[in-house]
Order: sequence, then structure tokens, then C-alpha cells
Amino acid sequence: MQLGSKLHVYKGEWGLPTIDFECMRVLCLLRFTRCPVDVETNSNPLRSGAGKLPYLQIGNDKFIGYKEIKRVLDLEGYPVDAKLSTKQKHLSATYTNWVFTQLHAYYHYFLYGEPNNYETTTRGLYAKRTPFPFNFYYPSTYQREACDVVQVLGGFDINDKLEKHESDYLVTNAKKCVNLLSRKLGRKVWFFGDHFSELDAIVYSYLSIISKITLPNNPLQNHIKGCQNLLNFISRISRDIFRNECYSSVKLTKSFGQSDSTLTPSERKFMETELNTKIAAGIGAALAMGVFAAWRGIYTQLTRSSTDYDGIDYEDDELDEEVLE
Amino acid sequence: MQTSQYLNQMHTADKLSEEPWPEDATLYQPFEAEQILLPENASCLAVKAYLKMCNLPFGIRSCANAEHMSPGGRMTKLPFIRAGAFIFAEFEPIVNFVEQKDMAIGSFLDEDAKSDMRTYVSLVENIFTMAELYISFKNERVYKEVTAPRNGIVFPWPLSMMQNYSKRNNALRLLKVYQWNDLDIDDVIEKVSKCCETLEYKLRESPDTPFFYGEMPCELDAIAFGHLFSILTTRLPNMALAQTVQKFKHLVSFCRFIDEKYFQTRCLQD
Repeated sequence: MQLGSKLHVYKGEWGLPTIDFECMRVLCLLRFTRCPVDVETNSNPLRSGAGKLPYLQIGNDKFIGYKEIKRVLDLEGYPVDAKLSTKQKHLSATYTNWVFTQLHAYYHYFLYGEPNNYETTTRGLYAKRTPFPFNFYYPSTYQREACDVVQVLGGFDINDKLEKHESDYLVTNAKKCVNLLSRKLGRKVWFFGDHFSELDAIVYSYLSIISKITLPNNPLQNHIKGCQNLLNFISRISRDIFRNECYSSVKLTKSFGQSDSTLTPSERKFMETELNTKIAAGIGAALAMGVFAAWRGIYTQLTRSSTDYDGIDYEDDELDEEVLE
Repeated sequence: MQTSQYLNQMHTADKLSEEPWPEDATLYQPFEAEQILLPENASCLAVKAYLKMCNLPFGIRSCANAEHMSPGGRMTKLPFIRAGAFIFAEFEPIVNFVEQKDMAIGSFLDEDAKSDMRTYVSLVENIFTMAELYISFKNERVYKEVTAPRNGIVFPWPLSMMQNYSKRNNALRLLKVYQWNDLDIDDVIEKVSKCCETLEYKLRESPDTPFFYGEMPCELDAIAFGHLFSILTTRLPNMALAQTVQKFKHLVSFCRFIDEKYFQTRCLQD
């Protein structure tokens, strides 16, 4: 692999290396195979050429999306299932396909399709990771894509009223899939024993995001928490393989809170906010105080106290007042 | 509407489990000679093979509007079966329904083998259906010469155009969701041949027996036969898929064997 190649993904959250399924899949491939590529988390989806991350930049060439990047890795000598036996290779491909059909619709519906989840959590997550004018546009492209996915795999339209969203079928399917995966994993390190495979990448990508994301409505989350071996699988990969990439905004604020235990909650919250919010708050406060002062007539009182001694009649004074106000 | 159908299917399947297989079960499909398209033909054949393997009696009814009568499904929405008062569409729901009745094939497998087999079924269904949709709707020549005239044949002129348009849109959306929309024909062939390799490998694991899992047929045999046989026997202006499948001699002879045993059409030449 050429030096200086760079993978652009969305920044992580909740102790995961990234928040997006496709990005996570690619990251898994790279880190499982120990392919030497830098990871860039501050990037613009506009530059990828497809309107979404991930993309891999090698010199002037861009490879967009999971399929292309996987092909590049295969050609460059980093195939993900190199150490598996022939039978395991075939099984890995079939299981990957099967997990995709079982979990893809669930993932898309509960992250982007469910209106409450999308508005409170997902849209904000993507918007925060996209630079300024584009953050109004790109999150909604994910929602539009989810609309197609849910319509084909789930059979209803997410633009319908919430009562018509019949997600029970998706949830049942996803739960069955998780049960089977948990049984298949057993007490092994990877799904196929001692060696990683594409199946590990896709299972980790779906389940780590679904189990860590803080959505108001996410029925599979508790179900995954009931499968201890899958939880161990997720935390082990996050800890061992993504040691350097994992990111969590909550951890930073926690350490802040501990050091300033004397502050009130609102003050602590203010300390956590970013610089431009602070500047905006400062300007806003100064303005508000100025307006308040003018409204209470402090300026008029100052001027009046100086004009009282001149003995000029009050009509002029009132004019003055109006001008000043 | 469709999902409520899915859930209904699950619940009714539970309720129905004690009742016997209805005598008048009917399979609905489009007209085979004039109308049916490659992906639909494949899924209809798979279901027919499955029911024959289970030794269940059923009648076949060809209707011009079979697709519009179907309660819905993930892919082709065809065929659908009416068993008593209940309707199920597509391979997997029909299989689930039959499994409730104790007459299903494939119950000889243990739980692990069964879950492996289910994933093979899902792989075969996805890869071949997508490849068939791709060749039918994304290849200009096949679309103009075969898909559009056949799909529009049952409608009068302006309606046939509208039907073609909406059908093509649906097919393209399906390809997009399964992330097949940006592939070119070489990628499609590669995917199909990979899937065939997997199947052939599975078939050769038990070289002395005719079926994928030993001496008895199971769902995988039905669906693999349905898709492979349709691809091999359907004449299209672009025979890329058939040529790909033809390279796998074991699979071709497997198709010939199943055809001989259950259908006797003998339209697969040597």
C-alpha cells in the first residue's frame, strides 16, 4: 500500500471508532488486516464525490464505499479472509449476506426512519461531523436512502404516519438473527475460531452501533445486552483493535466535572460548551444588559442631571430623551 | 400494508399448525409462455420444486394480474399460494408455512446445519434474483427485446408503457437497496460465479449423494434448482448468466437430475 494513503470516515462516539455502519465496516477491514493507512475523522462528504463517507484516498485516486475499498485491499495484498479454509471462506460470504438481509432494514429504520430517533439523535450526530453549510443537507440524504431500504426490505413507507410504521416484523427478524449469531459465536474469539473474517466485520459494525447508540426507541439494544458473548466480542474488538481510534465525548466532560466540583450545574455546563458558543453568549449578555439599561432610562437620568442646572425648559429635554433612547 | 401481511403470516402459521394441508391449495403465477420474466420464473419454479419435494398436492393457476393480487414480498412478490383461507407470497414465507405442518423436508437436519442451510438459501435467493433483475432491467437490449414486451403484453397500449415504467423503477430501486445499482456486467458475472462456486463446493462435500445435504432434498435444493434451471433454459439476447452457470458442470448435472426426478421437462440439453 502506498504511503500517505488516507481513509476518511466520520468521527466516533460512545467509545466507538466511528458512528456510521459503512465507515465501520471499512475500518474493520483495515485494522483486522493491519493495513497501514491513516484515518482522518474531520472530512467533508462533498469531497468524496458520492456525497458520503467513507472514501480512501491513495495519491490522486479516490475509492468510494465499502465495495471499492475492499477490492483495493484484495488487490494490494490485504484480503480479509486470507487465513480461512475454503469452506470457511464460503460460509463467511453466505453468513455476511444473510446478516445483511436480516439487520440492514432494522438498522436503517431505527437510525434514520423512526422520526423521533432521527430528530433527537441521528441527525445531530451526522450534522456535528459535517462542516457548516453542508450539515443542513447531508444528514437528510441518509434518511432518503433509508426510505428506499425500508420500503423494499420492510414493506412500509417511513413518510407515512407513525402508527402505520409496522416495525415489529423487522424487530422480530433482527432478534432471531442476534440469537443465532450468539449461538454461533459460542465462546470462540472470532466466528470462525482463531481467524477473523468478513462476517466478524459486519457483525461488529451492526451490533456495536446498535448496542451503543443512545436512541429513545431501540428494542434490539436490550436484547443484545442479554447476549453476554456478543457484548464481550464487541468490547474486546473496541478495546484491542481500535485502541487508538475510539472516541467518546462523554469521557472528556466527565473528567471536567470532577475537577470543578464547586461549580453549579449550569456553570459546569457552560464550561463544557465550545468557544464560539461562549463568544455568542458573551455578546448576547452584553447586548441584553445594554438594552435593559436604555429601557430603565439610566442614560436619560445621567443627561438630565447635567441639564438641570442650565435652567433650560423641559420640552428640549424631552426631545433629548427621545434622541438618546 | 405489506408488513402487516408478514406478521399475519407468522401468526396464522402458528394457528394453522394442527390443521392438515388443504386439498385445494393453489399456486398463482403469471402466464408462463407469454408473460413471465426471468426472476419471477425462477422463484415460481423454486416454490413448485419445493412443494413437489414435500409431496404436497397443489394446483397451478396462471393469471395475468398475479403480481397485483400478491400480498407483497421482498423481491418479486411471486408466486403466491392460497391454502385454505390464507395467502403467502414468495419462497421463504411459503417454506415457513409448510414447516409448521410437519410435512416439510429438511427436518432431518440438526440445528446448526439448518441455520447454515438457511443462510445458503438466502444467499442463493439474493444473488440470483438480483443478477436476474440486473440482466432483465439494466441491460438495454434484454430490456427492449424481452422484458418490456413481455411485461406489457397483457395491457393495452398506453397502460403497458406505464406498467413497464413503474416495474422498471421498482426493479432499479431493489437493485439500489441491495447495492447492485453501480455494478457493471463483469461484477455481476463475478458475483454469480462466486455464488456458483459456493454451491458447487457444497454439492461436492457429499459427492456420492444427489442432493446438497445427503440423500434427502431440502429447501436449498429447491431454490438452487429453481434459479439455476431458469437461468439455463431461458433464451435471452444476452446469455452471459447462462454461460457463467454452464461452466459449473456439477450444478448443471444437478439441475438435470432434479428435473428428471420431479418435472420431466427434459429441456436441458447436454
